[in-house]
Amino acid sequence: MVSELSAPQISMSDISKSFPGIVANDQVSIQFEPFQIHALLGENGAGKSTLMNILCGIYQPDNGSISVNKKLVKFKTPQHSIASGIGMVHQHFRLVSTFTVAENLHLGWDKTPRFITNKKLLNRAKDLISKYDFNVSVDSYIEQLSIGEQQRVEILKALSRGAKTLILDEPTAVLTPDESKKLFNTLRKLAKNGYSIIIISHKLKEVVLHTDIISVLRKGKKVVTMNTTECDEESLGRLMIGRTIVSKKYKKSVFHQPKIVAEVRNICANNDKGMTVLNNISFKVKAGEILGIAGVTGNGQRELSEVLSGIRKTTSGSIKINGVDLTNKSSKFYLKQGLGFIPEDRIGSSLASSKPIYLNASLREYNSEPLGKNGLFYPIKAKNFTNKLIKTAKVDSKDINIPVANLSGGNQQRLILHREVRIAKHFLIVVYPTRGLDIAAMEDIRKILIDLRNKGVGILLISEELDEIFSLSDRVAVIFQGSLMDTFEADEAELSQIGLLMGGSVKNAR
Amino acid sequence: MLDKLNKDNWKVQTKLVVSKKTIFFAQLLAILFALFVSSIVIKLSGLNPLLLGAKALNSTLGSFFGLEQLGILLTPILITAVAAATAFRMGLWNIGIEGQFYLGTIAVTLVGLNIEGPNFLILIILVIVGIIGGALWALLPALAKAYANISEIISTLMLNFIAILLVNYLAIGPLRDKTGAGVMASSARISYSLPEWFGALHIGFFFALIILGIYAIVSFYTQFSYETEMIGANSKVGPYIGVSASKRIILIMLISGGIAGLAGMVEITGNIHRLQDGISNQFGIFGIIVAVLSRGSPLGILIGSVFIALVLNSGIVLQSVGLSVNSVLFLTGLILLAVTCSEVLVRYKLVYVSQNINLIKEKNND
Repeated sequence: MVSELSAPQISMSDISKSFPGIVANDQVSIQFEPFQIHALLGENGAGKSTLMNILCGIYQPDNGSISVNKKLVKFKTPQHSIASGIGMVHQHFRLVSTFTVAENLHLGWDKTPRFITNKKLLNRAKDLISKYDFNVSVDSYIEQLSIGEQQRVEILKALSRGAKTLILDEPTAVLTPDESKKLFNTLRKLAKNGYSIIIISHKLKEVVLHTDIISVLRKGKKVVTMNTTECDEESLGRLMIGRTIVSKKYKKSVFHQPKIVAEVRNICANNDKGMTVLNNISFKVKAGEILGIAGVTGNGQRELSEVLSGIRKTTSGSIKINGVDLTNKSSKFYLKQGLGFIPEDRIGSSLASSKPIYLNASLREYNSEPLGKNGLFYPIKAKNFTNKLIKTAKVDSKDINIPVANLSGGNQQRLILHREVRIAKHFLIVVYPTRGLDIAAMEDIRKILIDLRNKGVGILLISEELDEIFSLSDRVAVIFQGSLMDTFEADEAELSQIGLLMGGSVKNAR
Repeated sequence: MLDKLNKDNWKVQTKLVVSKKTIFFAQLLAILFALFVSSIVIKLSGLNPLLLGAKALNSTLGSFFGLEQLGILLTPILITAVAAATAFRMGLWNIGIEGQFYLGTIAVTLVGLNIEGPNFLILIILVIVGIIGGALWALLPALAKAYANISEIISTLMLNFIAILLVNYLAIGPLRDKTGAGVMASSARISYSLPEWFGALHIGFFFALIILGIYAIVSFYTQFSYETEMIGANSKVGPYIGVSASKRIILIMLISGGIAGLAGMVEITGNIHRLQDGISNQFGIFGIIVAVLSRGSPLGILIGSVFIALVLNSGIVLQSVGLSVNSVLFLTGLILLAVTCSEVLVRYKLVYVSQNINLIKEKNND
């Protein structure tokens, strides 16, 4: 590990930034010091990412100033910011998946020689890796690497460009617990060598465990900056949302309904590239039961949810919804059997964002009364319907004729949730229900799911948040590389065991 | 005060919502602006703009003959505008209305010259033939778009040129009328024609209004149109509601092309009666302009079509009083350009933002 000059002291003062309709940052002042891991904690929409994008020169602040080692600077472009030793690892990696690690490290780097042989490229990359003491093989392709390894390449990329202040946006969102641990070890080493580390997060636990100093943002304003030793999860949570977190224990009424709302037998399916991603999956969901499916993202969850809602074809196996065989029928038939579906990429795949709110709200019921009949569609009835729907969904909008894209992400999510819950008479599939939501909205959604369950609807809950799976599910199954590893009663399952299964370890041992 | 003059302190922002009223007034303003500029040009060429304007309007709206001519111009524009708007509803940029129009006329000519029977029956056959001709010309771009995601803008545009040249070839080649003096660069006269309705205005005008009416009802009140609009805005919605996006793309392109072909049929059997070079008179292009400016609103299509027909007819009148063809084309282009610009500009606003960037600059200079 190198120890050259330590990172500069960076101070942002009175930073304000607004976008049409919202104030993202409101007079935020904050300092970042070398030798420290600094956490920016806040709910979604609290302004963490905006603040960091300003520091990276991606956005220009409307007001306020930035100084590096007490010298005022102005970052007009990301290049200016990089020149001051600031590097960012974005939540979605910016790597070319068909290039090798060495190629990615040299891509878009002004120190890359104009003419270079592949061998020299590999050697340069190897030097970098040993300089920073990283464990990645330089000649493997990005697509062959695990998410954790890809993240290390991203970090290395930032370091190789001279970053002394390293910003990581939600770095653990896509990592397994084990990978997260490794990441924080690396970050700690960097900090000890004089780097200044900033992590954006909304995970209280990891922030308390792994950082030195914590700043909490709420609704664009900085609430507090304090040493981690003075914080605990509960008080931080309160600061973050402005009130106490509602207890996560839910009262579940016990059902003994023998009725099976979804029965899946030995299904296999391919992904968009034609590769098999689901292997012989079988399970049943009873009425009034939540089956949680735990797993690290990218193990077939999306495909499973699509197959179960009639969006993706299976290559073998059968699906019965509400007792009716619907194998490879179109989603219209699934809808008829009372199935609601909240997909992973719900805003991208279940909304037409340039179209008015009322057209989007009608998407599931446009062809059933009262909105439509015999091929006709009644816009006025659709508007009345929408006005009622956005009231129950607490969607904050004055005009249902404006494009749905003008709603905030949380409002769009609520609209979809309530639209689907309405039609889920027997079975609801939810994928990552609380992803991208703040804590208050998460609680709302969880409550709705429990209520629905208590009404006798069967729910398939696919999630990467183990806490969520455990607090909501009646039974828990683990998916790994397209196979269901094992199914447990939620009360009997142990967190550590599930964690191991998510990493596929038990399967390997067998 | 000086702060307000600094361009750094002004920013362009997009408006979230633009009301229909605002758009209407912006377009009106744009037309007035274009007319103002036009009148300067006319003045410079030594003519009296006000007098000319009055004359153009009077000869179009002030006489029965003028109104007939307006109706004859209006008919194909209305139909091509509906054809374009149908595709635009799904976000498909069918720029090939012109080509599909041409193919409609070719199909009608080929069948019309070689078939015999009662006028009424043959006209019904020709309607079907025209629709098929236009639809077939849209089929290839439709398939390419649906299954290979090849931009329909390029493919339909390119097919226009082929269609134009094909008509040219047929009119002066294989289909050329050899019975006459031999000077005509057109096919023989098709003996079946749409009956006249008001004077020279044929019944095709009535068809055009019916087509617009059907378009209005379908686009407002059917599940088909709802699905089309939603899938057009986001194709991923298709599987979500159990409708195949690619099949819908093909269907909509065929309908759009078919309507354009029908416009060709109406024009050739109602007005021109022969296949000739440049038979479309750029009606396909005008239809696209109307569809874009009206954003697919049926009332907007009606107003826009009337407006363009009025401009075109005024152009003909202005030529008759000595303004050159090029000047007339310039004026037409200017008006359309201004209206199109207003349509875009109305979506932005200039806002004043006070910044202390200047302060920072000064501090750093110290």
